[in-house]
Amino acid sequence: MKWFYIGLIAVGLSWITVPTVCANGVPVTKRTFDRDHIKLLSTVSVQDFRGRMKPFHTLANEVLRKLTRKTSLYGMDPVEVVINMSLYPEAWHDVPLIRLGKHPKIRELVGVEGKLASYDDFFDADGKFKLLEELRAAHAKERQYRGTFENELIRLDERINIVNMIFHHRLMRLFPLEGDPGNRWITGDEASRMADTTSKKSIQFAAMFFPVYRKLVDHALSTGDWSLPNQAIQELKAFQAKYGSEILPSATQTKAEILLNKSNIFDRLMRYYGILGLFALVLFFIRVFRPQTSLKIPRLILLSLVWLTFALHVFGLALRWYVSERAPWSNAYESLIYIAFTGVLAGILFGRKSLGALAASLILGSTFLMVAHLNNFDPEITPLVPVLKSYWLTIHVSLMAGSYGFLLLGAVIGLINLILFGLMTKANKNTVLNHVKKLTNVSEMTILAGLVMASIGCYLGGVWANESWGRYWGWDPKETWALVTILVYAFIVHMRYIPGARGLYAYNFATLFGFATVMMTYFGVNFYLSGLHSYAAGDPVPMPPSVYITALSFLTISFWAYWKYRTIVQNKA
Amino acid sequence: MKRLLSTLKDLYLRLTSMTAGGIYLITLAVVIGAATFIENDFGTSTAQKLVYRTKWFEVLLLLIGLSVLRQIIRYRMWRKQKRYMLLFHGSILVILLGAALTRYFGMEGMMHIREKSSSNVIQSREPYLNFRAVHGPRRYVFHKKVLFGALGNNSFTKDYILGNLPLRVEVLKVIPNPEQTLKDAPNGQPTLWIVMAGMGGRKNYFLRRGELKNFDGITFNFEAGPQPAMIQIEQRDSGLYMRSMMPIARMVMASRYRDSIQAGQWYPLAVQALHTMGQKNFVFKEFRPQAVVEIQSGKRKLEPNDKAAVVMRLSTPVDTQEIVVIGSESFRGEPVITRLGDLDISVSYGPRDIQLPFSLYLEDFRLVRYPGTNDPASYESDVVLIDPRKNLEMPYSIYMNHILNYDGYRFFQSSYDRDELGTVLSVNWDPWGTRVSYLGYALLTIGLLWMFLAPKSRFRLLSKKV
Repeated sequence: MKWFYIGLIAVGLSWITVPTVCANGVPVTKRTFDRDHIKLLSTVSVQDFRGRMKPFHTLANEVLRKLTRKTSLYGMDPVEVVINMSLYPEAWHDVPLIRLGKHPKIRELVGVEGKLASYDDFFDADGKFKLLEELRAAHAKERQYRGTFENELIRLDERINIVNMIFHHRLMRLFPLEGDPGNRWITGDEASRMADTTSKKSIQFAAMFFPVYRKLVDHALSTGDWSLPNQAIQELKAFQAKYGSEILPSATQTKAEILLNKSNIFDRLMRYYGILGLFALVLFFIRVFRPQTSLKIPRLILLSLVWLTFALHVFGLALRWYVSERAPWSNAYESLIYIAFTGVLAGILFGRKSLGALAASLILGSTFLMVAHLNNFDPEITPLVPVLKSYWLTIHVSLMAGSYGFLLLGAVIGLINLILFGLMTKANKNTVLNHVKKLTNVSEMTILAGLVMASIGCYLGGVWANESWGRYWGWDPKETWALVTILVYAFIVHMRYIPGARGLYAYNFATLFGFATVMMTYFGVNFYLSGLHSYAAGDPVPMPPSVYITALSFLTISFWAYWKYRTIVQNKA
Repeated sequence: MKRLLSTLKDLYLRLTSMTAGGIYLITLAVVIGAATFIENDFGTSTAQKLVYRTKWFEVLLLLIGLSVLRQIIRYRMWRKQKRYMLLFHGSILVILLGAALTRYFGMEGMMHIREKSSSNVIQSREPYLNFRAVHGPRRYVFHKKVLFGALGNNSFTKDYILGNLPLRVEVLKVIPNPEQTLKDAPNGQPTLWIVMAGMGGRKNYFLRRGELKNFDGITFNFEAGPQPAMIQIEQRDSGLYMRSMMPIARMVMASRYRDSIQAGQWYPLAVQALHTMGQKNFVFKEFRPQAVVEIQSGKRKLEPNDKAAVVMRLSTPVDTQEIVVIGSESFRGEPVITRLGDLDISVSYGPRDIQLPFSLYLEDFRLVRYPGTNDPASYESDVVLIDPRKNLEMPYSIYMNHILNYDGYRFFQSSYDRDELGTVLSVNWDPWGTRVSYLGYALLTIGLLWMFLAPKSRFRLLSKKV
């Protein structure tokens, strides 16, 4: 506890040399921490409320994303913001940092115009919490009857609570509780409550940490010499290693996780795949409609860039696997990233020679990554519930989610082919048909591969269920819809044997619309079949307008293509 | 005869053609897709009753199997270059066979054991009507497997012979989520509906004119004679009146108007008012001058834990009784006891008990949590398997993905008691269904992977073309 005494001396010093100017006079945004100190701070471990151990860097990023949906605030990075808030809460009370949400009624209640409100904005002149009544009403409502207002209100309250917890050292579980059988770590606030009733040195340390650390930072801010705070954080890390060694992540793991946070790999991949996909699509259309142009060099550039980007994707997945210590397809966010991966993989495997297929797979990879970065998918790494701890499940989910990538590639090719049919004229009929055939071959391969993966994945789900609770099939909505998907695609691959269902048009039409079953399995089941609505009782089927728009435009394209197909290919009037 | 044969052959060829096969696949997809919506709206058992457990569903699966078989023969898939196709098409037949074995011969249930005690009884997963009858010196125990849904026809008739006494059991109807209510009826009686708010939640009681009853410790006398009761009720021309032996504070719920009732005096009775007498609270919910008590369905959706009221008629040559038995798929309800002549009979609805030839003793149940949280990371039961037939005592730990497999029975960690001093194991006996299904999966996998390698396969053909 050497630093503890240094700290005490420093505290004494600070009283003499630096009056509390730093704490009050300076605006928060000017209170810049030393970069190296922030770096060091980032590597400190914390235990989250689900029990996962993570670097402070991750926690701070999650907190700031939750509060503001931003990756930096007033020019400060998340670690700087969070440590500042916990050291100088009084200076942060009137700083706008809580996202209000879109609901106009909430803005009205709080009385703030901008996007962000400060903590103090939520309290009126008498110190009364402005949302109190509405929150009570919202909580009293049963879940299924809560509307957007209630849900947004509850989420807003959660954000206010997070800020409150940071202000009072209740958020960060930084200190291993000595001798706890459940390996619990405690917050500074918990430690200071315990400190009165125990003589354990470890608890005294935890209780004194923040007050002393603040004095050291005060001092450093005024002198620019950060050696004392650095030493304090080193001591904290040594403390964590001493009492929490059982569950403390290794230094390499921490480094890897911070790298994962900072690199934003999947966000970048979304943009790279998107650009490359458009590039490939342009090349493909040049090839179809201007076959005389040589594409050798652009194609080479494209392919090497695709390989590089794909390697980055593999690296990102591997990093996430290493950091989370479990397969990286265990929650919605991860499975989307994984589906994007398999979609691009399918394109690379089966579309090496087909620019159209490659373009399709890149665009779908980008689309899935974009969906993953929509706000309803939380990129946080979450621990597994007991029933999910099984290698059967890992293989099952990877095959099922993987198959969706392959099947979607078939759907995207289907769409491209229908568009090609639509653009067909008597003059370019042969070229177009030739390309449609080639693309259809790729589509058939990817659909076969997807069907194989879905079938094996589906029964592995059964094996998992049987090994977990002794029943391999129970007609549960998710598994039933997975079977529906398999049945529909089994039909599609047999269409060429069925008179009346043969032909290029029918096949591509089927692969495009067959994908609706995957959408239902993947998104629809949780949404429509969770028992919240009773359709027989007349509840409307909630359908986002984008679904109607997409379905309508795809239908229009199919009619247009069918008309051209009939008149030009089949020579019917 | 020849003509009949050729018609039959023609029918077979039509029913198993590729086109028919395609139609079956799409039909099956549509039907089970629709069933998930039925389940969402009306509960699992309803979907089972209307789709999954019907004869036509079995016929559909059989037709799919026959179509596959026909294509195997038609394309002579046993030829060397087609064997991969034989494997994965044949595997579908094996998987269907496995499913049939599980369905007809498999058994599932739950076993609940408290720490430091043992059990050899499992509760069936499927619900039964459980009968116990005593006729003279003889006792009879019998069970009838049932599947009740919120839609569809639940009624049936079944005849038994106990010794030489015929017994007819008729299920007249099933009411999901039963709730008692008052209904006007020409032959009805003046009836008062009383709701008592106690520790166990709200309870409904009904008091007819001329009855003296004790509800949750308060006696009510509705013109049943001079017997003393805490609360006396009288019907006069101007309405109902009441008199209490103890003072009552009263609040009309709609207007929040409050007054109090002095002991021993008559007051007009107020419906929809909360009466507080000491620690007890009650409301006179409704009064109807000519009414009967009816059971009504509260919520249509019937889930495994939801109660259902089975209205049934039991008859012997000498007597007939109508009874209402309440229970649920996953918990056996209270048995209803009745008497038909000299036959004493009790009926309950819910899982039946199944005796095992061995027992499990629960030494310890443990809940391991994620560090520093209340979230369970794993559940574990330390049991000792005791088989008196073989003089065997075998300690074993059952936890997630670590199953106890003995004598064809498999035990899984399923749930636990809230106090963490007892465990709930799910039990499964399905050795043949599981084996055959797994064999099918293995064949499917080999066949499908072979497809990628077989030189003449469609996949290889395509890969040469692109």
